[in-house]
Amino acid sequence: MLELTEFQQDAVAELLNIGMGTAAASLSEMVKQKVDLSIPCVEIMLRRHAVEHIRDTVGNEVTAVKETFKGTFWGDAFLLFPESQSLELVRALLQEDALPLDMLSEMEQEALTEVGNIILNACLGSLANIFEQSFHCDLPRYAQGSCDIIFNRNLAATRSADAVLLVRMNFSLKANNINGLLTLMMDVESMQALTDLINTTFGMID
Amino acid sequence: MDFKQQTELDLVEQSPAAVDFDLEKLACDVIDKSDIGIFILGRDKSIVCWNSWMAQMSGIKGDHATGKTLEQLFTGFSNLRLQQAIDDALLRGMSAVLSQKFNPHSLPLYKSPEDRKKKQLMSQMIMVKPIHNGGNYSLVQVIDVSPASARDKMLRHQANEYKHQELHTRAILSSIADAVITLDVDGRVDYMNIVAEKLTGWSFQQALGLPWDKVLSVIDKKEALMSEPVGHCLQKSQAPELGELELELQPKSGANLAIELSMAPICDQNHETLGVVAIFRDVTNARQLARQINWQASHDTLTALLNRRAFDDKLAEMVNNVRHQNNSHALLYLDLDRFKIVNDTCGHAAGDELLKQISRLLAANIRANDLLARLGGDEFGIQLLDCPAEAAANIANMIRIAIQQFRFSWGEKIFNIGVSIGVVEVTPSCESAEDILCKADAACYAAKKSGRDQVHFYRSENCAAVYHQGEMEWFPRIQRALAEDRFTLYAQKIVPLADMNKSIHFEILVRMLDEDGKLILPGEFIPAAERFGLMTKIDKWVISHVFKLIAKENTRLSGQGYSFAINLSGCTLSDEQSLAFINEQLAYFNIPPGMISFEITETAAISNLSSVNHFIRNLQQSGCKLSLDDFGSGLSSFAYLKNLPVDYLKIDGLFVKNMALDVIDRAMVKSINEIGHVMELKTIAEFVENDAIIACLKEIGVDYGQGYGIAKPQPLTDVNGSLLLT
Amino acid sequence: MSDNAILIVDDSRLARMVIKRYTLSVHPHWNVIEASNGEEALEKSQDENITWMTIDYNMPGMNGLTLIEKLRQRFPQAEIALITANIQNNVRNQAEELAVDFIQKPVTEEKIRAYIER
Repeated sequence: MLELTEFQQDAVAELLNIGMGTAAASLSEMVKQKVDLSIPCVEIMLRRHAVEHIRDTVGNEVTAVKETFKGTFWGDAFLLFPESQSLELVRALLQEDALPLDMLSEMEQEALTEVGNIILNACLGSLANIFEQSFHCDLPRYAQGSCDIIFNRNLAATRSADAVLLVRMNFSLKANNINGLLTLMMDVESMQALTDLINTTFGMID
Repeated sequence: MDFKQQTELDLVEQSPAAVDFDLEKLACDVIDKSDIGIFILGRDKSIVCWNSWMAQMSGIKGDHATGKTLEQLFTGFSNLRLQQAIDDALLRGMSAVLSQKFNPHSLPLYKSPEDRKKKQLMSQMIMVKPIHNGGNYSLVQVIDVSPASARDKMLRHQANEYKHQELHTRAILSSIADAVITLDVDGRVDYMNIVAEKLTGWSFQQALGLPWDKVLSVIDKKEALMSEPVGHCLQKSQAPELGELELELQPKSGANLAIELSMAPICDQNHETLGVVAIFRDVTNARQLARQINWQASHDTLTALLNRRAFDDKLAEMVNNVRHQNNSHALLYLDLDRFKIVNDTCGHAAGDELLKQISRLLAANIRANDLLARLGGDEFGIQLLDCPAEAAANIANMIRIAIQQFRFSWGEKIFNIGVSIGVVEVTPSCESAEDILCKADAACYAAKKSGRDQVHFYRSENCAAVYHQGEMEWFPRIQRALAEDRFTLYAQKIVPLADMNKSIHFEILVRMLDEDGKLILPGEFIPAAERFGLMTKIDKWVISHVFKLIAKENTRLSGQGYSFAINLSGCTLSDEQSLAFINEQLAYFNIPPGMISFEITETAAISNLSSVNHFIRNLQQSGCKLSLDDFGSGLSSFAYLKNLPVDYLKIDGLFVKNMALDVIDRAMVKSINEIGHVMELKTIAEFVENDAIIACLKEIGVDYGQGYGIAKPQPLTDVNGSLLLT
Repeated sequence: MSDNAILIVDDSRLARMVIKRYTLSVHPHWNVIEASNGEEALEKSQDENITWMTIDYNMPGMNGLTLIEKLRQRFPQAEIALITANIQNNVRNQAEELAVDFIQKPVTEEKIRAYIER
């Protein structure tokens, strides 16, 4: 199986770290509280395992905002919350009286989509800045359901390959007890394009 | 989707044919006629496209808008979020969504001129997308979300309203004094107020979601409810009838509470049942009070018997019933004799105590269905149901004897009481309750007049017909036998079951001799002697004769461990003079300690516990042993046993007789034996009739045996008057 | 100036590489000491006379601010910069409290130059 060199792995992690730093700052501003970030994690694995990893972190029932990005490298970016916590998050963001309903109302779903959009754009945007490249990002999509359904349906199926690059980083809002996950999922081809880009941008390995 | 693709394909295929067809123009038309706002910005952020929807909602025509930036178009326009999104699309190819929640009115758009006048901005959702088409463009779509926003607002309003109403309702429910529990359609608890928490012992938190009958555990007169009231409410949408029931609530812990409970279905405007409300209150005190009042109205507070009024009511009922039925009833009118002496010499407290004891005695001598009442002073009435004249006379006589035998002790004094009883038959020919009572009273008066301690039967001819009991003839016969010394003594061996050849213990038995020298067994004369108060004399006769014989053969008996058991009757026990007599006789004949034991019956012992106790201790101090005879015939005596300091326990022969065959009797003997041993008493089995019983007794571990299977009673002395000790 | 030593602490090799490259392009004779976490930084700086340091915030083990407090005692004169992608206000404020510079990732030549040429 294809492998990333230690340097490439480190570089991807650092790029996500930078992107997420900006994203977390946006989120922190919106919820008016501190957002804790984990160390980013970069791994090549089977797509099946990637979904299992995600399930282990946020549970099977999730609320997701997805953006598909296309450019020199491509893939899907996801912002994921345990389904039970997404309601919490929206309420924390909107600072509105809670509806006594279990489901998010359509307007609240839209608001959550915007939040996801801001975070994902901050992250993807910082990558674009570093590489001085522009992406083409689709509109964010809101989805709710089990991990299986969301990932099988939403993965860029045409470029499917068994192995994927999974880049992930956890974040948490302690005051509201909300844990989320930001992931980038890229197929092998896209990953190779990314590593090429890293090599040209940052020069040889010293 | 398929349909749409089909159309596109058609268009593409047709386009070469249609010479005039201009796809670009078509695209422009589509954009222009869209029902959403669409505008496109170039790299310099100037507007290159502005559709009619935008023109209509903004009030700015397309040709006026093109070439300008948003800032130029809308004076004072400043929307950082939108501007950032547009920049991101133009410079970095990113899409963005601006939700209504975070950006309610990004652009100054109005749905109608009226709204514009009212400055009622349109609720909007904006999507920004990059377009790469020979240069970078930013496509902005604006969607009017006013309807969705209004729905959201309404939902929120309803929720608030609902919450408010619920809070309001709950505030009312929690402030009322009754307990309230509401249940959902499945009969599960969804609300309870503080009073309900207190009464049921369940906290709302714990009870929430539990089935109703777990929290509101209700029984009707100690039994489960006949019908299921919650199911009734839910299925029929009707309140169940619970008002007539005497309900009790079983709280989570603690004693049951009497409650009044009502339930009703909770329905919405469409008469859909949403749940059930149960309201209840603690009526323990009220119900107790009602019971107390009822009880007091019909009872005599001193004796707890029915009072005159209740008795009269029941009598009237009885008279009424007897006319329709063929049974006959009887009425007893009782007036105590010598009651006044007690009252006069010892005071009212003694009189009251006597009345209480007499009440218990009377109650013990009538049947379960009979009615006993205190009619006033020392007068009592008894209604005997389904009781022919003969049976009524028997019962009256039993009562008379029981009272005659009864000894009332107060301090140092002991009193004999008697009763005069008038008996009347209640037949269909009776006129009224008053009439019957009057006749009974008259018969009672006649009984008193003819010498007290009598039973008089009311006869219409004359009120003086004395009912003679058959035992009366025994009285002179026993008296004569005593006067002529016509009694003789027998003895029956009591052997230790571990060493059955040892014959040193004997129970002394007394026989009466007829005028012609025929033996009369105790079963015949003793009941009569007891009834007529002659037993004490017989006991004294036995004591002095036995002591005399022992004294005579002192040398032969001494130091051999011989012992003789003498029976004492209940009358003797309650007579202080008898005790003095026994002590005097012990001393006179110089009886060695341990040689005499006295047997007292369980029934005699418990009828006057405190004086018997004194009697026993006194005799023990004088060197005598005490046995409790016929033990087990009244099971209540287990408790009394602790207070009777006896030395031997004689197990009632009725149990022993059948113990080899009957497992229950055997178990009785076993447990009496165990209790005796636990209390460090020696046990003696009577009626030991065969070897099988002996084997059983040995196995159980009973200490002594007595009966035909061991030895028959034999005369105590031989022809020469010496003791027969075999 | 040539006896200056700069301590670069970052868990990302890329970050260290970039900072080192930009530093050396300005001061080719500086002694560069690299460490990937707090413990390593404390160990490697023991016998050195550190005059400059750039510390990452988000690292495995102790975080950058904790490390700065420890290094500050050892090198009270040193110029310290917290370099982080985490630009949330609370991190900024903490950096301010410790009186260290705050450099937002990604690291660029301009940012480094501005810092070491003061």
